[in-house]
Amino acid sequence: MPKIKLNGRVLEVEAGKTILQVASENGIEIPHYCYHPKLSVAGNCRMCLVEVQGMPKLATACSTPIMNSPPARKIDGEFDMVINSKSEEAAAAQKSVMEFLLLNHPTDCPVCDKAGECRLQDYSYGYGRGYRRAVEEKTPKPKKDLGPNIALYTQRCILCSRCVRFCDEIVGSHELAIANRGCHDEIVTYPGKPLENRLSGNVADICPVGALVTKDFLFSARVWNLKKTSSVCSGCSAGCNIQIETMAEKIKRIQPKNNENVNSYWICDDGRFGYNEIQDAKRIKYPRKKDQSGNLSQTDLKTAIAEVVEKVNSLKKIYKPKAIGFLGSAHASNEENFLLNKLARKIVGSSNVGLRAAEITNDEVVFKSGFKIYGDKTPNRFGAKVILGSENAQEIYEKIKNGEIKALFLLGGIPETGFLPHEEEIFSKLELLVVVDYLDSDLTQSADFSLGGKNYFEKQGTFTNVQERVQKFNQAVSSQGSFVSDVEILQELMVAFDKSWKEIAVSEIFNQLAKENEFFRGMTFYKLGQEGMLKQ
Amino acid sequence: MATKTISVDIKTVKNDVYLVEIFKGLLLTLKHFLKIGAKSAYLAPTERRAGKLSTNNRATIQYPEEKWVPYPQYRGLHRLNKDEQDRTKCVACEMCATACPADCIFIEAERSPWADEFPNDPKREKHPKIYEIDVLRCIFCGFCEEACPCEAIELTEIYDFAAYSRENAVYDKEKLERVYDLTKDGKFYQEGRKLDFEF
Amino acid sequence: MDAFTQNLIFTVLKIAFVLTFTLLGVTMVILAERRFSAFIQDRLGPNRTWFGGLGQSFADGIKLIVKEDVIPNHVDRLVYLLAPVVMMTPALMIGAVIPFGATIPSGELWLPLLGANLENLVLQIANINVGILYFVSVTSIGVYGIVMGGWAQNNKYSLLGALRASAQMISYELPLGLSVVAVVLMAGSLSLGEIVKVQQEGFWFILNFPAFLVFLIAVFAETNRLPFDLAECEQELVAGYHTEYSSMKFGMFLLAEYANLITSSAFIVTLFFGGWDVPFYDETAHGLAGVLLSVIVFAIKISFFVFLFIWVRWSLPRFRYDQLMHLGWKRLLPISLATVVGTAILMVLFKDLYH
Repeated sequence: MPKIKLNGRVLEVEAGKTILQVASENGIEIPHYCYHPKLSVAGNCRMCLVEVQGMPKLATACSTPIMNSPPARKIDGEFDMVINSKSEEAAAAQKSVMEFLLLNHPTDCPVCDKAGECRLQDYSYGYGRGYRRAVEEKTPKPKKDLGPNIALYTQRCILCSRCVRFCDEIVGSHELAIANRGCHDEIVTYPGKPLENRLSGNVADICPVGALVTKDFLFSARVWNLKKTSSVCSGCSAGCNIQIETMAEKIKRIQPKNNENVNSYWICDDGRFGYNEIQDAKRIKYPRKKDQSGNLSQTDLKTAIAEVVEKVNSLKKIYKPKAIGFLGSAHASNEENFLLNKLARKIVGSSNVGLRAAEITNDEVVFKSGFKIYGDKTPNRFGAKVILGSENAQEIYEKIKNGEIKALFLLGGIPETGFLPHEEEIFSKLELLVVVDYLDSDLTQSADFSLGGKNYFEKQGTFTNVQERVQKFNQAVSSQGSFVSDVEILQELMVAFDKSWKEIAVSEIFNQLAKENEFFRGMTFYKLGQEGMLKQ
Repeated sequence: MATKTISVDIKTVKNDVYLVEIFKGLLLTLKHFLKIGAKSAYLAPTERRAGKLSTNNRATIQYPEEKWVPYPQYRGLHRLNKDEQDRTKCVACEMCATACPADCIFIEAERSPWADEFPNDPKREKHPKIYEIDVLRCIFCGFCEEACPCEAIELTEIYDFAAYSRENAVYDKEKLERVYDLTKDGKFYQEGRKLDFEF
Repeated sequence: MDAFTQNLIFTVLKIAFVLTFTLLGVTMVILAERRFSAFIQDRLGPNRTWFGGLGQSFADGIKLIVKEDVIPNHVDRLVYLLAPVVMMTPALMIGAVIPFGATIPSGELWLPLLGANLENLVLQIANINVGILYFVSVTSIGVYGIVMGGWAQNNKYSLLGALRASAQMISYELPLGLSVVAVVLMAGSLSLGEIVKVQQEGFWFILNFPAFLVFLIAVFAETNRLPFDLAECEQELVAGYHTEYSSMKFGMFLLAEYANLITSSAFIVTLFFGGWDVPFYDETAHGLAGVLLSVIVFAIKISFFVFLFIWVRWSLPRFRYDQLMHLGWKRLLPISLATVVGTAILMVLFKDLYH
């Protein structure tokens, strides 16, 4: 392995890696714009120029590989390469490059949405000159619309071509290109073909300056005011890692979080912009009850649960525990399904447990890099299946139709959906329908008791994605609807049925689940960490 | 640093008797009481700044009738500056809110109605939908003024803006722009103007 | 009408006059203190209420009366409630022995209802022959108010204030008494009426300047005025003995303080400045008008000393406590002793000059 000296540090690294990779792995900052670990090396921003001893000119760190040198030519008799990114020459180059990049940059940081997380700002502060020498007018380049989600502030662009390479290499849609020459260079789309691929939001993330912006986030907040919560996307069964950025209890944007096992640096636009519908959905604030004439009335959780328990106990006496059905949800977390399963099998004593989930769609897309949007739009189908021991809800539906099941506990959580197809007709045969769902939908309105709940931005838990990876999602905002989460409601129910149950926190529930369920064995909530865990 | 010891003999007869010094002091205060030689002490600046000379040459300013005119660098109530076409200069960059040590500025941005008039100046594309300053929280440090890249927020000379309710002490965009109208010539107190809001 | 009824009526009238004078005087003195201090500091002071601020004290009084009366939970309730009364009463009682005008000859009284056989009307509520002893004893009762107030509040600042006040009172009572002895030696009587009369016939006792000086300084200390107001010094004790008093109870402490100021001034005038004596004028010469003049002159003399009190307060810094004790015991006491002895010797030497 080559022995190198990088900024005075002696390192032994693999040959073939680039200087920039080695530097970032070892915590040495080399400024760069156009290099992105998941994109091909372009070497066009020239910001990463470093001094390599023995080379006639400065070399770009992003494209210069680490190499062995023959023993006779080793520097100081031992080093294969001696690299310095802080030498006088390198610093002068960085300063000059910054000046070139800023020649035509409007420096409208006060209104730029990138301000605060902008490479140009950071490097200008760290490596730049600090003042402008040019007296010439800047070339005006007006703002452009690139597509339904993305706008381009052309003048801010430094032409690093990250977005172009992203569309070429990751998406494979080749929508963007650089046109014109010299200072008139700009990012363009092909005429009549806007940037509308399903990963388009990512170009705003990888843009090192404020040129590409999502229209969704434009003007909505300054980034340093955002509170960041790492979480997992619930849009499909991929379980992409995301970062929910909120301000004043409102979600302002969702950004991808790097997890090489799942989504790399990307998320799709469905997950990125989908929060609006979930956030703005009509919600249940208080538990609701339907009386015999069909009128809905507001009640409190304690009374509602007491009445539910009373009714279930009387039904249990008339029929048998078997007459009580339970439907878990592929949209609910592992913990919620676990509690429902426990309530069914241990406390009520009924084995009629099913899994309710939205149908798998055929909306499955695989992009050039292998990034996949799944047709299964449930975040936790696999986890729910493992916990509930049931594939679907068909069996329960049949039993309701047959009259074997008279009462049903149902976990909701399907976004924007109340009844699934045929459910309204089937459920009308029930004597008691208890729903735990945050939406104010036709389902919760026809339920005898609708106990409320929180949406997944407002609660904590774990999902098991399609790769069977268990990942944590966290509470990002406080509840806009019900004040108690689904887990708390379920535990209240369990306590009402069985006084020996003690209410515990989500992490404790997961740890208990890990103890009891074969699939989750060996995991703990803490051990899930940032990357999640596969079956041990 | 070397310490210098100074010895002062306080046990002199003069000090011990003390009465002489008492009479000297009494004479001094009597001089002020009778307005002899008191004028030059601090009345000159007041005389210069106030429209009228204060009653009886005393330093007191008879507030509602006569008002002190602050010095130009005085930090009083805020204002939001407007350009020559009455459009707010503020671009909602939240630099003031970020710099504010009392966290009293709240801003919500949106696309400005005049964005299309400035195709080559992206700064004017944004303006504040909501701009609120809670003057009860404000400590009048002037950091907002200093942070502002567009010279949009400034502290004016106005010092008498007590309110009867907390709501009225929150200055929104309209109020702050009205303050600009009243103070743009810097002669708020000279001209005897008043804030015409609900207090 | 018999002599008893006549005396009764006149005494009640005199009491009413003295009380009204003292209480109205207090409001004026408070206003004067605020405005004069303002003038000394080149300010204006309260000048809005009524005619140029005359109503300020009344407005403050109304405010103090209608203000919520807070009695803290931790206080010794009985003593707490009693303290302002104990403070206030002696301050008003002192006025009883002060002669405030020349005697009205019987012929001059135009009061037809009262009939004939009128006696001469002495303008003094009680012309007792131990007036000075009465003064000394009653003023020292006032300190009980302070001590009680300080004790009752169960609070270290108040207690310290009270302790300071009592120690100070004991220390300055001695020079005060001794300088009065000098006056008594000169007058040959303990009766205040007699003292004034002697001064009227001879010379004012201000000629005994050391005695006057000691008395003046001691009175400053007795009334807890700056530079001797260590009982309530703000920097150290919040507000001293009345820290936890509010509303009119606090107002009574304030009232007592200023009533003491007036009566003390009256005493200084009586003992050293001839009381109601109008210099180079025979008060009996023009009947009632002369008497009236003597009363006015007496009030003017008091006003001067009230002004002196205020003037000194806003000119001098506060003493440190050890300086206070040092002054009291090591300076004033010897001086007053020497004054007594010196006065006595002079009295013996120039006996004929006087009596």
